[in-house]
Amino acid sequence: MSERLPADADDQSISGDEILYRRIPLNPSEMIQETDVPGEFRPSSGNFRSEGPLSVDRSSLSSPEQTRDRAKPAVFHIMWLQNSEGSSAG
Amino acid sequence: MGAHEMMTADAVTIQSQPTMRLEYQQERKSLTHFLGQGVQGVQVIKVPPEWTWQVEPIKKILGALLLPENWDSYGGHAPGIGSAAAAIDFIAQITHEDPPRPRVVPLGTGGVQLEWRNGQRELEVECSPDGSIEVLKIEGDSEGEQCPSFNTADITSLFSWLLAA
Repeated sequence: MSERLPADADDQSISGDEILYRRIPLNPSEMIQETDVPGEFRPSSGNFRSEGPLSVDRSSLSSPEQTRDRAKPAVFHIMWLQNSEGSSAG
Repeated sequence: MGAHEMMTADAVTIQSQPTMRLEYQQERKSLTHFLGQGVQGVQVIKVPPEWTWQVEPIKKILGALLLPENWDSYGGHAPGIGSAAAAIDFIAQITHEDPPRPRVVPLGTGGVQLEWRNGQRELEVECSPDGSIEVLKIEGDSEGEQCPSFNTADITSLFSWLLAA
């Protein structure tokens, strides 16, 4: 997000189609849950609760691996969402 | 396990910081009576002996208290006693004997979220560090509806809705 935008502003310079990445801790394990599709998981909505703006990595600037490894040595899942979903999630 | 027998959650005994532990007691009382002062400043949660399914989520809530600051790598706060007590108090008010088991999700705000799912219906209970609670009913892909959870009757109504899925 651009630095001069207010914290709650929707940064229109980022395409709504852009994929965003965010780390999810492995522990507690209930931060994610299995969907009805075997092998597929979805993040708990709790992953979107934040005191300030939600920090994410843009896929145009970072790979999932880079997002994951930025917090080494801790190990994380990576969730992805489209920017348009992120905007609606706040 | 009989009344007054001590049960301690492993997750909260392997550290030195003051926190809470579980203990069974003979009578069901409000959470204000569950919380008592144990040895060395450790808070004791006295769990009624008839409780069954409630024990595991309470252990998870207590386990969440042990998370370090920045546990989510985004500067998230560890859940505090206020949010944990609110979550346990909510669980204490569920009168259904065998509801679906809740998921216990710590929040970066220092809160704790309880989540129940039954078919297409979900309940999300967000417990904040100041002890306040917000409940969201979600059905399918709908946005969700905020609901009151002021007393046991409200909570019973929420679970009747959830279990009717």
